[in-house]
Amino acid sequence: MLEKVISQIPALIVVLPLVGAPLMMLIHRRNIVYMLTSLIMYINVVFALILMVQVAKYGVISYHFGGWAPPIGIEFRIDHLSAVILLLVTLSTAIMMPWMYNACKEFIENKREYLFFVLLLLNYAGLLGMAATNDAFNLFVFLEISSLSTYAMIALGKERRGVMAAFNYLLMGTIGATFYIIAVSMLYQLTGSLNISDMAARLSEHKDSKTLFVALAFIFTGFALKAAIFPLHAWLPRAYTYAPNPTTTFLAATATKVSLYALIRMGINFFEVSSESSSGIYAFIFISLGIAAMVIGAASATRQHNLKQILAFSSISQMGYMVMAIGFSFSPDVAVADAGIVAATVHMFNHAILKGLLFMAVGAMAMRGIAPWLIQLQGRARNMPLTVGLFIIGGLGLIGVPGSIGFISKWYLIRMAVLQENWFAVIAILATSALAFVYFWRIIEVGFMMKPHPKAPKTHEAPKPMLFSMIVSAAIVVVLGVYSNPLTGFIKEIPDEIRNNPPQKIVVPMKPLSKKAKGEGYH
Amino acid sequence: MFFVDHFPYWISVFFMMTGLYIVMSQGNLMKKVVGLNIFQISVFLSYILMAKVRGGTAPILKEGLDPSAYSNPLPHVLILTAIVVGVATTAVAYALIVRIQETYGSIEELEIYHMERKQSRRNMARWLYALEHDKRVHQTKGEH
Repeated sequence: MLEKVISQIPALIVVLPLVGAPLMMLIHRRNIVYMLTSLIMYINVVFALILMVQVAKYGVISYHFGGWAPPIGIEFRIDHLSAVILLLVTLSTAIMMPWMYNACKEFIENKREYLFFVLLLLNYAGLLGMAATNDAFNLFVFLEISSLSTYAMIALGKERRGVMAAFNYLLMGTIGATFYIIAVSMLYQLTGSLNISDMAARLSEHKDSKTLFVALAFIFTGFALKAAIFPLHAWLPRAYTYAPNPTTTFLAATATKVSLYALIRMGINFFEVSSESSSGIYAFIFISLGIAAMVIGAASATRQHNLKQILAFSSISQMGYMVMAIGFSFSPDVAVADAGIVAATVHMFNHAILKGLLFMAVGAMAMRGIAPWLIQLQGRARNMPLTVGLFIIGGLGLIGVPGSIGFISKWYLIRMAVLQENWFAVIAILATSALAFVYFWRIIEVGFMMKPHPKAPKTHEAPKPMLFSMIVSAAIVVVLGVYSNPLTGFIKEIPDEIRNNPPQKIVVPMKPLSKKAKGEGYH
Repeated sequence: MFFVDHFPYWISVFFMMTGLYIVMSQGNLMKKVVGLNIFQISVFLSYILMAKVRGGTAPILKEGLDPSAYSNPLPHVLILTAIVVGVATTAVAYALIVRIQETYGSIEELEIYHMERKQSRRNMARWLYALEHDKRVHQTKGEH
């Protein structure tokens, strides 16, 4: 019995929230909906952990929907990389759930609260599906499931600018997703298959095809729009700032990371195929855009007056690190390429936990009226010492102070750049860390060192469930920072696994036609 | 002839560019969504075009039909899904436009932009003003 359940987990992890969403719509009662949603989130963390153990033990898991073999049916494929992403999404959302209880009460209208959880489940299912699927078109469908619910989640708040931000994101996001299906149509014309690894194997016959090159350009632009990679990031600060706090926290922790994961998946399978002739171009584009995003994002963050906006720009800057790391993974030098993928994945995981913690702290502060405007925080940080303290732990993690998980990923990033002897990238990483210190120091200075307005009211500490979420999150930041082996050990397996499982062509056994069917003239 | 041979594809690309141009150039949100739809439909068109084989028939094994030349049904199936997604996107977009009209009283991008500029400047000053007059803004919900 148990084994049967375990063999179905790759599907269950997506199906459970997908089935849960309409169910929550029918249940309608706020508290019951909240409890069931949290239950699904917690079960999914267990599922993700089981999948991780299974992948570590037995290698790649391939799940065939309805028993149809891959090129015809849809395949879910869980390898080390997607297992990490599944854990990232499920874990960071599960940590948020106690925080959501108070936050949703505060920031979302009472009668719409159950709808928030419905959308949350849909979005969550879409993201998990994107991480698990190995079918190019299925990826598009899951991308749209998560995007459509994201638009509604952003517009759910009481802030009217959120609606406009959601609309702008809708335009950008739809164009991005449509670019992706244009690319899929081109790749399908080249290969006649939709299974990503099958496509990759078939593409090796078309290495120098112009169609492939154009398709890759469309894939990059499409996912760059969704993942807010530098020149296409315009929607992100507005969407994050004006969305209600629960939405912002969820999106900042998960959504952009999964889009970036899709880009890495495409990178491993499609960009690598044509890499011999054009790897230099891809590497140049990714690394230069990554460095531009890092520096410009961090520099813009130092000039904002709103905590949520500061964190949004810092997100853009952190996405830059990951894009740069993906760029290094196209390097012909195997050691550098491996270091690139490992650094990108480690940083993705760390950033999800850290941004979750930071936005949770900002949400708790906003609830007591000392955020998101810096002017509200002025001198009043001492009113909520625990919340602000946890916020600072998150900030230190983002800067990359030793002892936090931020340091681990900075270490991998710098190691990667040094291996390639790309000193410009090393300097950019260090400079961006310094800029991160500048914008966090500004918050600390405003919060602790400036005098509060004489008439500013005293506030008290955030409610306990919120604190609980933040403490768990901060504990992960510190524990993984000191003892990072379980995570990095798992992630370091990714490059080897990719090398040992090259994409293989799947041949459909064709039934020979009977002589009768061959046709002997028209009737 | 390159142009004549690929005529259907040129139509698809023409609509693609038209759609994108409308999304970028028009200030009216409603027109933007129309442009987005044209853009999406051009992509659907390109999928359907690639499935068409000259002289091809439905993929049915039957006496009298040439089994080697048939139109691939898979792109049609994909596009059925994509159409559903497109309809859902349009529905969400219109719902958002209705709410924008309700809250801003306008669906012209430029007017909304100016209103937002004014609002954020006012918001910055509001906190200090409220403190001076002892209003407990920290308890008003939602407005940042």
